[in-house]
Amino acid sequence: MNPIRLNDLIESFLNNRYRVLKLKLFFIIGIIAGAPLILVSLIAYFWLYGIARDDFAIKLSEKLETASLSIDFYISEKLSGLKFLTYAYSYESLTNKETLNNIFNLFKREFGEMVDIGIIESNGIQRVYAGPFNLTGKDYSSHDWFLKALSKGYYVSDVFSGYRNIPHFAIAVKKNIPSKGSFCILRATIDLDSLTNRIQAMGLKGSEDAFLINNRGVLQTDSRFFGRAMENMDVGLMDYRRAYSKNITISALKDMEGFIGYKRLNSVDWYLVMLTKDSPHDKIIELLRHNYTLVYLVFGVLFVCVVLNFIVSSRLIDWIRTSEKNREEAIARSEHANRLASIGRLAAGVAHEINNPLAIINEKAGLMKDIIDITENVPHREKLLALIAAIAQSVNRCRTITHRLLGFARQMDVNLEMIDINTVIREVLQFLEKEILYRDIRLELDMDNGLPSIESDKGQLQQVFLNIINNAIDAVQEEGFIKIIKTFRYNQDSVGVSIRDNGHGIPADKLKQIFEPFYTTKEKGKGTGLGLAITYGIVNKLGGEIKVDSEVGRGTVFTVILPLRLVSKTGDSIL
Amino acid sequence: MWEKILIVDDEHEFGTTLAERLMLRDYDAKAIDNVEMAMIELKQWQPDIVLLDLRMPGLHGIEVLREIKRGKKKDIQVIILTGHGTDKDEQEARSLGGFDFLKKPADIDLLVAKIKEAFAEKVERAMLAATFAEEGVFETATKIIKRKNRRRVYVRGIAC
Repeated sequence: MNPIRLNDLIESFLNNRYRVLKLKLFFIIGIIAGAPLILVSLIAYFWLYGIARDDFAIKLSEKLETASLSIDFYISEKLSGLKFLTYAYSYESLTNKETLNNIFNLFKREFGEMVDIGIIESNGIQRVYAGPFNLTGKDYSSHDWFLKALSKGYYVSDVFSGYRNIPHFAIAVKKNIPSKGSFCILRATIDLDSLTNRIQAMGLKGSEDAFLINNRGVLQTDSRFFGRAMENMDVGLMDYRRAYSKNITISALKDMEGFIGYKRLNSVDWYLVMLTKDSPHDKIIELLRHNYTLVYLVFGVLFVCVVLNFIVSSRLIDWIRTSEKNREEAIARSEHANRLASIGRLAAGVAHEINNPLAIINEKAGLMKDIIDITENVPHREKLLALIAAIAQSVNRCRTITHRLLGFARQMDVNLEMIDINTVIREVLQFLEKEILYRDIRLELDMDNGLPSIESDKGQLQQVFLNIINNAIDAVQEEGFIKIIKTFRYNQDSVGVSIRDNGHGIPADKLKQIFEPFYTTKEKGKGTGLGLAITYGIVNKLGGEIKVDSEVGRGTVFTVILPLRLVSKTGDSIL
Repeated sequence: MWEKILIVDDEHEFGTTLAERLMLRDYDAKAIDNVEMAMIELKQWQPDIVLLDLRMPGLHGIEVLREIKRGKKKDIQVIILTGHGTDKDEQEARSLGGFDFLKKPADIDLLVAKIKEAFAEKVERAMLAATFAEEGVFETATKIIKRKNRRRVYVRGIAC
């Protein structure tokens, strides 16, 4: 696998890692920030739920109270009327067909909603009847209401169809006839619709239901949800024992959302039941639906929080990424510096060891030459001298290398003085003036004349810039090469010198090696590969930094950054 | 000429070859490859100039230089000729009164030039000191000599 592919893989792995980290952070912050919000929302919801539920219960019980009073009053009124008739009219008057018709009409006018009225003899046979049906002579002796009325004196029946086959209920009052030692029953029937009307007067919504039911679970009026009048209903909904207290009982519906309330009527053994399938939850939703501003506000705040969370987690991860990258770069720089230092020490050791045998070769060859010089008639004299000259030349080459190697590793003493960096550059350029003219190299200077003097070693800085500029000149073959030397203020504590060329550039994979000793791109024998290594060493020693940026085909920029004051390890200025 | 030159170098081949080459150039050169022998030769043979290596088994070249400058024959000119020299060594050698500091492999012409300079300086200093001494200007003579040789002044081998 080639290195570029590997780098791409590492980069993609890191990107993925940071993305996962970002997501994790986003969710963690979201949970930390969102948990109290959710908690408050839940508390608010249950609080509102409680309020809504209480509101339901109150409204339910208010409606139940009103409706039950109304129905009780309605029935009691009829009952009292009938009782009054039994007291006010004699048996004979009541059994007179015409009188009963008059009473029926009066009664209907005053109390309304009465279907008919009749007198039933003690044997259960209806003797006189006033009303729309023909029920004279009908036998009621076996009817439940008849028997109850006999024993109790009066009775309000459940709803039933009877002979007329229409749902109605009867109110019966027993009238004793002392003269005959007998009794009769005055019975009025009332249409189911009259009860239904009273229930409808409660103003029910679509999700609400109200009906009357007797204590055996038989509906007395039609129910929206549980069937029609006279049908049996699931009595599991209600707890009759609790209802018996005549108080209003409110409880939650089983197996479904909603509430049921019921109250036992006073006048009759019925229960008025009301239920609503609305839940407090729907109520809250409805409440929110009517408060658009609040909803928009809450969602707006939530949206802003999410966006902020996203930005914060992105920033944090970017910071972490930058700091990790900086750390890695610092480690890489330090490793590079250490490596160079190790190479330097090794090189110096080798140079030392080579110098001695080199000196012997030098002296031996020298002696040979000396002997040839003083001896006459030496055969192949010229050839031998040429060989010795070649040895001397090679020794010289070796010497150059070893001496430069030693220079690279040497503990250099720094002679500090206050210097103007622009002057140093100009002086270096004077050395190279002829070379630049000869090569027809265009040189641009961009000097910041306002730069402060720096505390450094002039001689060594000259060597640094000489090396860098020389290298560039050597590397360039073609005419018209442009070189820009720029001095600038790098930051508060340092100045920079950048040397830019538009030469052939250095490939990225070679960039790391250029400061290593013996790394050279020059022809064999032309360079020792030590120039930039020494430059690197000097700049480091002077407390500075050297950077190189290059792009193949476009050129290279060397940037040397030098501190204004060379600070020792104790933090004091050295000068 | 026949100035006496003592080459102190543990590399036997180097010392003897150099000695031979110097002899071809009319110097009385002798090579010694160990420090102990060298110290004896210094006293007995009394060379004018010593070509001294630094890193040797036994005593380090700098210590030998110190010994020379501390002893009676401190007017012996010492040229350091080493393959191991650091800037620090050079500084120390010069501060101890070493005449020059050359690195191996050194060019013979350069070496001969340095030898000539060293010898010329030695002669000049002695002559100057003698002149001043004869004129009775001891203080000036002392100062000149002190500059290179410390405290005692020798004029033609006689302590002043």
